[in-house]
Amino acid sequence: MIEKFERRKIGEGIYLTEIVDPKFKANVVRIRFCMPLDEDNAGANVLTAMLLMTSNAHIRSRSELTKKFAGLYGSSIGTSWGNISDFQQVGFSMSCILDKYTIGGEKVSGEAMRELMRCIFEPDMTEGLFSEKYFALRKQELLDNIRAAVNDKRSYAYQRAKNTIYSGEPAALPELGSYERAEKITREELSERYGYMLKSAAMELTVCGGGEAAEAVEILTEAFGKIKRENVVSPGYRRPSPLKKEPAEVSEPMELKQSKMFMAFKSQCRDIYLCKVFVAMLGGSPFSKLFANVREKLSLSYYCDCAYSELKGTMFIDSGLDNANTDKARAAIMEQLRAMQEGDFTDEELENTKLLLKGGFKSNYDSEWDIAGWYAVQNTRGTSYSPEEVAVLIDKVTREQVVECAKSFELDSVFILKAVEKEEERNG
Amino acid sequence: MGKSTREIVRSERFGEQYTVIHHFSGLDVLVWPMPGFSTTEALFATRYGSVNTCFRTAKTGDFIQVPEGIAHYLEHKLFENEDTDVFDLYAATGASANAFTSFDETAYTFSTAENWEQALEILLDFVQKPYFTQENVDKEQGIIAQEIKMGEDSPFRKSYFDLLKALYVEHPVRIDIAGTVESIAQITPELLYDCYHTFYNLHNMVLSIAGNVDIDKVEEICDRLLIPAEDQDLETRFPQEPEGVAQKRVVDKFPIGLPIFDIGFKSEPCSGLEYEYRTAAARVVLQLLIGSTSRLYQEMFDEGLINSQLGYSVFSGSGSYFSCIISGESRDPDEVFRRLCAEIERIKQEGFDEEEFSVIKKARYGSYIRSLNNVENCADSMVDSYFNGTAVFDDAEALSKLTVEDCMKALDTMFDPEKSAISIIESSLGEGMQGQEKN
Repeated sequence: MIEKFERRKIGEGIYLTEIVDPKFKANVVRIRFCMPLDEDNAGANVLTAMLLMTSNAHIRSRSELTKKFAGLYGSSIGTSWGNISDFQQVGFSMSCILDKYTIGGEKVSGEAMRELMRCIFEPDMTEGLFSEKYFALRKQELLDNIRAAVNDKRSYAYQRAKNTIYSGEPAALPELGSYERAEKITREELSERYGYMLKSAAMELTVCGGGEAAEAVEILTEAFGKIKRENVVSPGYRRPSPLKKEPAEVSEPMELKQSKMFMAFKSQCRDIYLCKVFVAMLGGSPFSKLFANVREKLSLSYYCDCAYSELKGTMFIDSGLDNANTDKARAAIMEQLRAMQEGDFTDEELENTKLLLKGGFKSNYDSEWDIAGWYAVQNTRGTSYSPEEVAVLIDKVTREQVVECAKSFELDSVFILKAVEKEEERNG
Repeated sequence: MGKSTREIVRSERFGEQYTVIHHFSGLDVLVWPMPGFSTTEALFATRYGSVNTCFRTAKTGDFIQVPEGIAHYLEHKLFENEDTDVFDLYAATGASANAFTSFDETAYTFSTAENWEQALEILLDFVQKPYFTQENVDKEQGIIAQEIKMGEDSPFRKSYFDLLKALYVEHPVRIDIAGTVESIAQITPELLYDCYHTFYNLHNMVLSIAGNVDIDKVEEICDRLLIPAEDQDLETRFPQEPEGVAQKRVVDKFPIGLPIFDIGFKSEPCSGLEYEYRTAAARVVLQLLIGSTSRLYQEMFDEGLINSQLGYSVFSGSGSYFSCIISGESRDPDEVFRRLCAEIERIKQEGFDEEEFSVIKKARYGSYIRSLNNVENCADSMVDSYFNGTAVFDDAEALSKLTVEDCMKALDTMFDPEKSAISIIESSLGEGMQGQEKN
């Protein structure tokens, strides 16, 4: 179990979390920069992060840098990006085995950490500009990634649905921004974004793993503690999305075998853990209302799942359906929501759902990535609850509260990526 | 009734060990306690997957041919008991239950941080109690048809299965695990019972459990719930597979933003320790050949021919198929294939770089250490190695003994451009339409 949990401020808007659990054989390092999400900068922010992990002032070749980390027992580095509410987060991750597990006791973790710092603080720049060669390659990769978003139909449908659900809000934007904007990104612009990130982005740094973390913590504290900071972003992640006066109905055709339907419901209920219990009861388990009825009883879909964004106060229900069944599925989903609103569930269903949720939370302890991620999510909520502390909150949820919570969710939008046959299939 | 016996499988190198209980019922039970971990992961698995469509036992006499997708269908249907839904039973334990069917294996799983004993009782009980009726079999048709259609909408899955069809002429890995809407319509309760009684025999199965678990308690639960079975001389048959590929190149179209490709190199199947050595060698060769530190990767990346989505894997199973597969996105997949084959020829002449070989070996060792941190991975590894007739730590031993010469040999035998194929998914969207889709 966790021997040490410590979160402290090491600079203006910079927090360092250290988590030690001796059962782990490796340490992970997570570095996240958080900025307001806006169409103009979304792609450039991601591209800047990609370039920082491609080369640095000391190792100007991507393959040499990759080889360096591979030689440190595969201490892989990675770039990540994503939207959190109306904010954008870009970041870097590294995983490194503990020195005591290397062959012959080689010391690798300190060197891996120092190389990561070189990537962030000593970028591969000439006269203030990123390498022209890697800029062109990574920019093309960014454009390819934007194009490839359509490849995964379910996640593409989700992105298109968000466009309707969060219309007019930053959260509606795709993670990488638009293709047209990305095409116009310049190297000069990236120098500005790099400077902005170091100067103003909110920063969350985490070292989590089996121990031997003192050197990593010292290196991070020194490197990040000396940055000159100003106009630091203070992300208020909780930005509930306003409910539309009338539910929006949008349908887009695509060559598909199966339509993908997203229904969004919004609520004024601000009790995160109460909402989690309700959402899980409705469609978050194989014994939930939607699984038992839409899938098992009516055989309409393979999946009909519920997810909840507490920061936007929005619940999503998504399913894959035959075109002919979308109305039927929609009616069945509304019927199950009504059942919850009328208290048509047993105490057993409620208690079993709580048990499932609590077990899921506790399982975060078994992965250094998961437990680091758990506390990162807690930070977005302005809390630092442990899984056990959240279990206590879950246990306090009553059936009356669940009914009231269910009543608070109202339909906001329905988006369908509608299956149409290929031209040649239509023509027989 | 015989007695159960125990065997310890230990790795001095990693300081890890698990116990094999040869249970008197005929089942082997693999238990890996992991101190400090909260969760318990269990798999009750049978050596039965989508490729097992032709078989016989002492009882059936002649070989029987069953519809494609039936193993997966059976997996769905086993979750319904005569009197209740299995998920409702699990619900009271807090366990998260699931199942999967692969080409050569079906497994019923649970993961839980509470009440693992009760969850294990449910697992052992329901897998041994099939209940198929015309009504409940018919009901599943709609659900699985939607699962199949969901898969058909995935260009990645389409590309992968197109490649398998190109690589294999006769072998049933050519067929989608879930079957087709048409093939599953032929499934009846009687056929499901036939398959169940053939493959869900404890001699053909294994129980694997890792994490927060106690060996004595597992054995006590097994003693109570496992119904002893007689070995029934199961024999599965695969068609004779030629050495060569069925088709060199296959192309399909999908509404995607950037072409997707899968390239495969077919080689001789194998099992046991030979499998561990060949797999270890194949993985290192793939990394040396086209991994992110390789010369070829660097060249193609620098030219914008590939992006960081490039991946590779060893595809193998049931001692009847073995291929090395490279997947990715590219504006020109044919050129990627051409360069890859040329690089193989170059390395055959010039050899691998010794220093790069040792870097890759070290990286794989680090990756192995990290995998021992994962309860699910430990439970899965025990099943995989058991079905292969080896032990979990044999792959790490194989890696430690691997030499550059082994890799050169592997390149020769497992990366023959003559026995390779490419599957490409091109975009059906015009340039203009891609612009619309991007926003």
